[in-house]
Amino acid sequence: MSQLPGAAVSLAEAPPAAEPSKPLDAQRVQPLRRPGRWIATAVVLVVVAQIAHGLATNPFYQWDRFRYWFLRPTVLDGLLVTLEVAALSALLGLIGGVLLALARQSGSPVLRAVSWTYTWLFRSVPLIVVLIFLYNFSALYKTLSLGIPFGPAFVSFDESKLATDMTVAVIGLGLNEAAYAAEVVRGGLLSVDQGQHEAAAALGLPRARQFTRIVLPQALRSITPNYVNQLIGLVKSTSLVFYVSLLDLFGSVQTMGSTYPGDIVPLLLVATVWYLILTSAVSVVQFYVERYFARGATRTLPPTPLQKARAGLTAFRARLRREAAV
Amino acid sequence: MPSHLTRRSLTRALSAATAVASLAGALTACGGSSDAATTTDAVGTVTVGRVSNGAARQTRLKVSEVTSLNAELPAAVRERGTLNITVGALPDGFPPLAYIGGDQKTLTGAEPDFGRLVAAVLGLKPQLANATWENMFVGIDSGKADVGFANITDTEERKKKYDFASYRKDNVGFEVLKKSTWKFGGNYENLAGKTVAVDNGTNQEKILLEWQSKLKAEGKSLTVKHYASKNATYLALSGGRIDAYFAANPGVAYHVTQTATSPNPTRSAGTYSGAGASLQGLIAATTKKDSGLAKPIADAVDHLIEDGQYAKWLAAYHLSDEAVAKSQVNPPGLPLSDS
Repeated sequence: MSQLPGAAVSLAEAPPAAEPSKPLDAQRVQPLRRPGRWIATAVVLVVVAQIAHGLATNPFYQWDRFRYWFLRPTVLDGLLVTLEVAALSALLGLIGGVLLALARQSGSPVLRAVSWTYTWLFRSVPLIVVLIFLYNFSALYKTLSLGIPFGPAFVSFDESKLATDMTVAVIGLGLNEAAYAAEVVRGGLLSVDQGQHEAAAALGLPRARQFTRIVLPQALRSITPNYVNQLIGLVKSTSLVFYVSLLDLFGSVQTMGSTYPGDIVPLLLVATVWYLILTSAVSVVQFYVERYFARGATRTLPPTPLQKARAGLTAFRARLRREAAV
Repeated sequence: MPSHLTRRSLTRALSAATAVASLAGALTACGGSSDAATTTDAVGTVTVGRVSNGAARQTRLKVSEVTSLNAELPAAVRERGTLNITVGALPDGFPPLAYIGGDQKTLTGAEPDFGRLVAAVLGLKPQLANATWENMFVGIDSGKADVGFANITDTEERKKKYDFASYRKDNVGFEVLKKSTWKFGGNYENLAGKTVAVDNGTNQEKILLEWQSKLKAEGKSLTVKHYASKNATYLALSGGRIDAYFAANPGVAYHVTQTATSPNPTRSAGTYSGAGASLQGLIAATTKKDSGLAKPIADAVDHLIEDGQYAKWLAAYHLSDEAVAKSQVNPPGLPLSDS
């Protein structure tokens, strides 16, 4: 808290100007009374305490089993799969999204049409369907080969050897993610003021340089929060990878729930807590990335939590000194 | 950090990203993929009921290759020397038939064990792969898998695309909370006014919907509910949202023993034949139509029945009351319209 709550000076209480007893800045200001706020706070605290008490004491949650499952190797293996699939498909999705967004803005009608069609297709088809199709891809195409299009092949791969479960999951999620990321990136590019494009062009910079030095850094300000939103959605959509016979965090929890049916609830809580941890970690990274790209756009950067804590401490000390001086 | 994106920093970022990607790729090698660990048995023995989490007695069975049966196999499979078995037990298995065992990583259960027995008689190396129920069938269609062993009921509908070799009776049962007083008693009339959950795409669902329409004709109601997974169904049962769960009987038996000490214990409320009143339902190994595999598998099952390993396998899993006298290729199954 850097401000004193309810610091308000009412004119009626102003001291007569004839006899200034103390310097003005040392005078104590009476805070305004706010009974309503106190009552609301008390009610909310009681409700929160009740919820916490219920969580801790309800036998339905079986916290002892929660402790047993939280760090089990099978759950951690699942967590690793979740992290891997999410990280790789986020990377694939971002690269694909940038390429698609550029294609969408290019001068070539073919590139524009292909990019539009791709986005339209992958935003329409449910992710589950994409995964099932890819997983059973070998039914449609037995081999993949590199060579001259419609001509002889130099190298050919047996598709079922090439496509491990992990590959299929990453490609499926990545293709899906790229379609959404394309729109996020395109929105970011559109948010850059037209004047910036014109100024960059007026400086005579090459097209590529205009994009990497002028347009993209400004676009990233609006891309970041939207893409992180996508990313959090992606972390949760990894729970569909059991469709490609891969057990992620949620999948391993489901499997163990059927083997140990007495522990279904604590297992679900384990998954919940892990997902909370993952999302929180992503949010922390997001804060710093956003702060980085805000340079040059805002006059003063928003304070980091550490700076906030320092400032709060300093303000508190100053207040203590003032209170002591009264 | 540089204050703007230079070409060099872009290159650096890209190479860092590549490094991250390759690192993650390297992690994949040691990550927990759901590959079913094939147990290492010496040639001539198959151990059933491993890491079964209390569902079975671990039993070592002597099984050896029968060359005449091996000669019956389609040439492609015989030359390959492996039998690709698919088990549809993802994301949540159905103990004691097919599930991840008590070591929390190995695929175990009566069905994969039986698949291993059959492969041993045919002189093939079993390759087990776990998949979702839908992908199991698509995998058989696409040739990814040779045969499915996963408590699959032989039905007339499925016969349009698959060949069957039966190996077990199919009984279904009702599971209710222990504190409930309801009994099925073999009479569908007792279901009037109840809410019952059933798994999507199973033959017990078909039976239940049949009863529902019969009750409707009599002016009574039966509410049928579906849940995303077995776990979700059991949560609904323990929360009192449904009166009963209609599922494969071995699974009901396992669940009843497992939840005995949990806050919401359950009990069985009666069983029924998996193919309706007129016919004994059969569980069968499922192969692609005209793949030429159903006959050798049926003969292998018959060989196991005659040699006594079949009875020992069932006894290990406490399923002796589901034994059949003989394996049949494409026996009459659950009719298209069970009227």
